[in-house]
Amino acid sequence: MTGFPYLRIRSLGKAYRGATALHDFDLDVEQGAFVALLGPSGCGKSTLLQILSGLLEPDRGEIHLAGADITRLPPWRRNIGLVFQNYALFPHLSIRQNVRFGLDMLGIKGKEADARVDEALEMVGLDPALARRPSELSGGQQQRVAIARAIAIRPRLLLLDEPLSNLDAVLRQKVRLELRQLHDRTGITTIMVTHDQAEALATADRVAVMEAGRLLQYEAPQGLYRNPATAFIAGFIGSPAANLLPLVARDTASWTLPGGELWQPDAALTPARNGVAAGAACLMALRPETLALGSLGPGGLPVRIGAIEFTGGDQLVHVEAGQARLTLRLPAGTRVAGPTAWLFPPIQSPLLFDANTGRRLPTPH
Amino acid sequence: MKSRFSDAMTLAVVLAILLFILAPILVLLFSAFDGGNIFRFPPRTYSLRWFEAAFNHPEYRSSLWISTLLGVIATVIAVSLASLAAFGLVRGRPRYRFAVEVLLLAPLTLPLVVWAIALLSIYAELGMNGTLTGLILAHVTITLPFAARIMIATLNEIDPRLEAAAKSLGATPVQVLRRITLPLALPGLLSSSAIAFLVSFNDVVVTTLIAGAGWITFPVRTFSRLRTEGIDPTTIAIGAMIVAFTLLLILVGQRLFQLSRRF
Repeated sequence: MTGFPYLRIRSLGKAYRGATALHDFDLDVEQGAFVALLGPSGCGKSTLLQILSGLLEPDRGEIHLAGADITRLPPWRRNIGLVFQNYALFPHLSIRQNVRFGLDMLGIKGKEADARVDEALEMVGLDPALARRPSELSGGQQQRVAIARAIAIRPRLLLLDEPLSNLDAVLRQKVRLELRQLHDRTGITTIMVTHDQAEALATADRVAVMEAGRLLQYEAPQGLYRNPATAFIAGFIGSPAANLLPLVARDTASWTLPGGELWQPDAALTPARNGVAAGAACLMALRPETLALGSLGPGGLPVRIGAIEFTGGDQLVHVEAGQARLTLRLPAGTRVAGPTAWLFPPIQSPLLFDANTGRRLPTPH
Repeated sequence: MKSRFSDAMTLAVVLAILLFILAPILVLLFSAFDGGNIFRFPPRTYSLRWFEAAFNHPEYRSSLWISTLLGVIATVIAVSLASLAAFGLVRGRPRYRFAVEVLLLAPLTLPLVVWAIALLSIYAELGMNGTLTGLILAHVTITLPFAARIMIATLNEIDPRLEAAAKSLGATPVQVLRRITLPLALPGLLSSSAIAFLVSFNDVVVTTLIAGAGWITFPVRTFSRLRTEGIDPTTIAIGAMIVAFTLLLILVGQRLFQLSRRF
């Protein structure tokens, strides 16, 4: 078993009308895992999902599922469940007929088929006796039917395409928890495509971040948050996402902020300590929830206080450092005195990125 | 708030427009039951004798039979071709889709006489004038654009993701066609068949030129009789029957469509 994962994608490539949708893409998924494919629209995540389901043929590369090469297998012989963003329920069939469709195709009939339809509908929290047309259901219920239809065939892989994007904000929170619970109960290896990082972090065991047809980073949510591989990921993950502060190393001990102001940081954050040569440009990722404000003190970053948003337990404080805008998340009770203050970034494991490549700079030891 | 007066006025105008449109049909229906030997309105004596005459009229009988046969064959061929074309254009999304669609619909924009002349000269070359094959092909030509237009619209409305979902659930392309695409395209297939049949059944211009003396369709026969003998009560009776038949079809169709939505 070791060395050969349940789903193995190797050097997958696909170009659409000249534009590359997937570029030399590798991904391994363990059996029973819940993986999120995360990226902005056009990053190739939906293309990957279509190739996995067999609806689209890759230009090159291989896909192995449970030890067998499925790269050229037609979709109807893959036994991979697919839930579309718009649910794609068959409008001319009843809900039970929709769920039963895949069983009919497998030749499962009579009582056994009935039992499996009941089971699938119960699994997604729908009443098996629900005798309605798909068009008579709410969006949330339609999605449940679509999931029930996909899991009724007991698929080897369940693919979810933006499952939460057509739901309202309240329902989204609820359904994302239900998706996770459904996965835990059924144990079906699941791949979910999403552009919403909060969704990906909340539901998946591992998140594959994609940009422009490439895999940027593939890690557990905690790792992705703590150790983003690129500035793009740092500026994408978290609610709100990390601030990316452009800095130029002035000398071994100080930085120049956008706008020309000087910042003499704590010893742990100096250019010399982080291996940045004088004159080099980089980006420092500052997580809103790790920043603190103070009235004075060495190592602080001079900032002007701007708008303050109250969000309940927290407040979002917008500040300007030179010409850069930053956001802090502070407990709602913290008193914020303006018009200027000092901002203190955490001194452990700073996140610094090369300003040109966006790559993470090696952490100092 | 709307006044009662303006409501009443709206109703009156609607009724007047309906009457204007439907009055000739009503006159036709009533006069068909008149017992007299010439066209009269309103009818003075009521009788079914002209219906009887129509059924017993050998020329009308053979013409109706020819029109129906021709209509059915032309419809089956035109709708089949139109469905295949629509499938290729909508699902295949070829680069030249727009050009082909324009070409397919082009016959709608040209006067039928132009088509008739074009077909006549080609068929003369091929020696097909006056043959049933020639007539069927001519009717396929004039009905195809209508059928294609409806089938393209029908397939455009069927979400390709439904077919993709069926495939992912284990359905082979043939099963997808049978279980998903065809049932969803059925209303479109029925309406395109109905329109194609009506276009074929109505045609005088192309048929007159192509058919020769061997295959005289119902409208051609009616047209020539109207010219030689004026308004003949038998013709009126047949007209009334056609109106009744069409109404029946529409009623049944409406019923079926609603049923097809329920089940």
